[in-house]
Amino acid sequence: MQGPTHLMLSWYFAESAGVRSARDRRIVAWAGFAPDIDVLAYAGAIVWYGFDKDLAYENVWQLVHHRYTHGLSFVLLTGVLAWWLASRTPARARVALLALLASAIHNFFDLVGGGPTWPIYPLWPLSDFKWYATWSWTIGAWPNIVILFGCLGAMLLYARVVGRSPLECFGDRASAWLTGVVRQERRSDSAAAGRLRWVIWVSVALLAVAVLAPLGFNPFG
Amino acid sequence: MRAIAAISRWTLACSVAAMCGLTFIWPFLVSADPSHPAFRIAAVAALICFLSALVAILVEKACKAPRI
Repeated sequence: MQGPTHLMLSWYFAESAGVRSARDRRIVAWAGFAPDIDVLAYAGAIVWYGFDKDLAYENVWQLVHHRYTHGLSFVLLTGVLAWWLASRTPARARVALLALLASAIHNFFDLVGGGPTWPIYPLWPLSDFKWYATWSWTIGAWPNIVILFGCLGAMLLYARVVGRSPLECFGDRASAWLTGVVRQERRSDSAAAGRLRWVIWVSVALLAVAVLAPLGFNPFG
Repeated sequence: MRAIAAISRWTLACSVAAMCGLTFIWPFLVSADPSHPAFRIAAVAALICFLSALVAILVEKACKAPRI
């Protein structure tokens, strides 16, 4: 599944589990996204190979993606990190458990919706055993697209009705901005609001590129 | 409504447990065959249950939210 889908599903998971604090919902959501942190290796490899994405793919991405961060060891690491970062409340252990589960189900989502050529390595570093499904749908297949757009639609509806959304992952102000937009509230046009608008639009543009680039979308070719 | 909420929470918990089991236990205890038909049925069922329970719980929360 796409990174934004992982992030949104993990936020909805935290919300449906009744996590009260915005900070803790953020922790669970980012924990659900965390296994895809290995995308940094691809970004680094593209720079290393002089922006030759085929070389970067063959020499780094094909070998690295899913190997080190899609397994039990990383799931446990995510749980420990979440416990360390979570609010010092009696619910701290619960937040850590939810973060751990969000990271674990990320592996399941990739097993089902990552394509048969991207196995996960459940026992790495103890074993190099690969686990995948031959029937797994690829990243650009319709079920992944339906789930992505379902999550995006739900984000707008939920922000309008409840007043918060997965955009909370990028800060309370980002979520408040989306709520204001979908509720058609009037806001003061201060310099800070203008800067925030730029940050959000650039984030949306980067998000669109992150979703479309792996699908091979090229507007010029 | 309360019964639906309770069923949704139970379904969510079971589907999360099933997804973790299918990812980290199934290949070692049941079958390491990646084309096993039972695995396919269980995985798709777990995913559908998870998404349905998520939708039901969020709709319930939205219904309880104060009107704007």
